[in-house]
Amino acid sequence: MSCCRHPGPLRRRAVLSGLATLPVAAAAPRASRAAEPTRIKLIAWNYQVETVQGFVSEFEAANPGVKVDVEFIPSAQYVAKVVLEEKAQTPFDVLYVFDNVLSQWASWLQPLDQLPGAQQLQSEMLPLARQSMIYDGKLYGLPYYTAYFGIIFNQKMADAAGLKQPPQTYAEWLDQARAVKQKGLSKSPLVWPVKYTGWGGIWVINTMVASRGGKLLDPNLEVTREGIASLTWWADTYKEGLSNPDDLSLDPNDSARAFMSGDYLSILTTNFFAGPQWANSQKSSKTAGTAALVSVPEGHTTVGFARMYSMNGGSTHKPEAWRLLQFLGGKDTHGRFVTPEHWVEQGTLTWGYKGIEAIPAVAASLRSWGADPANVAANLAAAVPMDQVVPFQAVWYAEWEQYANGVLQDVLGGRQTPEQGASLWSGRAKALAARYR
Amino acid sequence: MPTLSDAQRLSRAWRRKNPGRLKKPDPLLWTLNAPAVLLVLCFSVLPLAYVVYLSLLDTPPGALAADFAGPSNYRFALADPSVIRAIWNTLYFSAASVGISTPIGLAIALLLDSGIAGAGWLVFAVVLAWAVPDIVNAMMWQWIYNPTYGALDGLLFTVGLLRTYTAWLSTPVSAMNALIFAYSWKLVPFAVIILYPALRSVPHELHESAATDGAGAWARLRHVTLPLIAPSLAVAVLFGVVWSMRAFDIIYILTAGGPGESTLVLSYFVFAQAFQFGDLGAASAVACILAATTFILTSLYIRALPSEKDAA
Repeated sequence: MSCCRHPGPLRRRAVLSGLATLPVAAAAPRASRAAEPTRIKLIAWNYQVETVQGFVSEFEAANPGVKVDVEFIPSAQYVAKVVLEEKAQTPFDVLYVFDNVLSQWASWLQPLDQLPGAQQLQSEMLPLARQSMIYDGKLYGLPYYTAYFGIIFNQKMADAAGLKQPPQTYAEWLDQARAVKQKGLSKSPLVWPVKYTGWGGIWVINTMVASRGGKLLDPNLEVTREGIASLTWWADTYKEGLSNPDDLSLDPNDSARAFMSGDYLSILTTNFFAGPQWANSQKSSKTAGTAALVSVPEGHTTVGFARMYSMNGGSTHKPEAWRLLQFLGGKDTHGRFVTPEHWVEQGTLTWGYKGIEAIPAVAASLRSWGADPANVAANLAAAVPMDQVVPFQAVWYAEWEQYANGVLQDVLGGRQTPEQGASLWSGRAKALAARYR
Repeated sequence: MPTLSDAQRLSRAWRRKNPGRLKKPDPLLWTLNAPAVLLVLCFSVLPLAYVVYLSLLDTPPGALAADFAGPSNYRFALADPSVIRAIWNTLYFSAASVGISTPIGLAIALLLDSGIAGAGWLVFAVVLAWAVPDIVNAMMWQWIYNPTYGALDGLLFTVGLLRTYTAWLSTPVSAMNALIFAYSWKLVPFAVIILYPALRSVPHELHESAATDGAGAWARLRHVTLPLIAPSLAVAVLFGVVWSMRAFDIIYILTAGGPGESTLVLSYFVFAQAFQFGDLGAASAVACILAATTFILTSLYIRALPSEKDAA
């Protein structure tokens, strides 16, 4: 048998050749593993899913070694779900963050200040964006968008009532609402995002207080003079029938939809509700083409907020996560802002960097929803973060806000006086501050 | 078919015949029971123990580490006006839901037992309502109560009982009542499903002899039917109380505890405290209070039930 003719050398050769192939065999899977892309996970709330998928595809095309898995979570459940994932140590790398939970999440988010390019991006940010994303002196995010509070004004109804301009003072705003009601143009001309869950009433009153040049709570956590004046003014609109108590259950989206019915003179809400998806939607809004975004009365300032892209401090792929973060919330490798332009056009979301309004497509988009680009840019530049009006970055703020929204409902519904409401707000703030001292 | 008391008599007789048999550990019994015991241990006892442990920790929002806090979370919970309000709301919600759903469930079960035409369809409707998941039920009522296009407003407006559409979930009293109504709607089918078979098992001869003795419909219900279906009624009430004490979905969807804190119940408070405000320690303490309250209430209820001897 041939196998037995030269058993020794053959066996030795076979063994040697086998040994020789071992490194190759061992290297082969290693080589294929090296070719596998790094997978990172992005957690986002479910606003404009297709737009976000588009950004991710564009990022993956520009970064062949990185694949991004996106988990979309409904906005209403976003905070609870992320907290649950973080507590359960579910791995994720990049996430959306609301500025109102930054103080609660900062302990496990990655500070970005020391990452390459972060200082440059920070220097180009609007003050509103920068201040909203800094906690305890550290930067925790790059801007997804910023927004400010303004009035969306039904110009068609205003013309019919003979109103010459949007209200410049709160007294004028009341007079205008009375005129509209007296002429039978609207049963209750004012509508508000005031539901007690989510952001709503308290953010509106923060705006009113800021526009009067004050804060809602002073350093001793007492409600200020401007706070009580704003609360009283607002409650009076309900007493006079200029606002409808049945509208107290309207959340921001519902109240914007109510305004879109054309039955209201004005709504104080975030600027993006004036956009072509909302009040100026040709398809679904009766105020399309006549809804104008204007500044709040008194003109001191307005408040704004930021939503940001942040990095999980526990990410095991920080370089790749930082690249994605820069792409979404900063610039691409060519130094171009990628997402703000899309967000203005497709999502009516305004930006967090200086000078974006100068991009022709952005300016055109703003004009299409009745906004003056210069006015929007000026408001964004001047808007103060919530933290300058209320203790927005205190760890107890979220709990206080939910309680305060409930009290606000009682005041606007006539079940408490403004003074009683202010006292309850103050008492609760002090109790929570003491508890979490 | 042996009744419960027959089974108990048989069990007693067996124990008399086999004295000391149950005292010896039977390896086979242990082996057969082990998986079930293990499951209960893993999915009930250990999580419960962990919640008790968490309730003893100081976990302020945003803190990475937790310190031992002893009973301070319980002290906070029992002094916090929101928790006190949530306890009262929970008790009211539970009592009202069970108080409404059980008599209605009994009435429907009696209707079915009377053999009315279309009983099959009624059973189908009851089972269908029971099969609807809690979250779907909540969404359905959200649509019904909507102040702009809700079915309830539409109906009441059409028949002239409302002059303008009303936001039922905007005022404290109407919000709580609307919640109770919506939750009772979900509890009624359960009561029917429990009570209808119990009614069917009541011997017809008893009704006939009571009628012969001159008992009217109400007297027959009070003195014949209710005593005989009392154990099933007790089960319906007991489960209704336990479920409504921990009701969450409907409150989360319809009111989120508001307006103000008018519909804030303990289960929602626990959720908000843990996952919205980030204080797991305080949330766990309130969860333990909720569990203890439910346990105490159900124990009192069971003790208050007539015993076998009383029934005899």
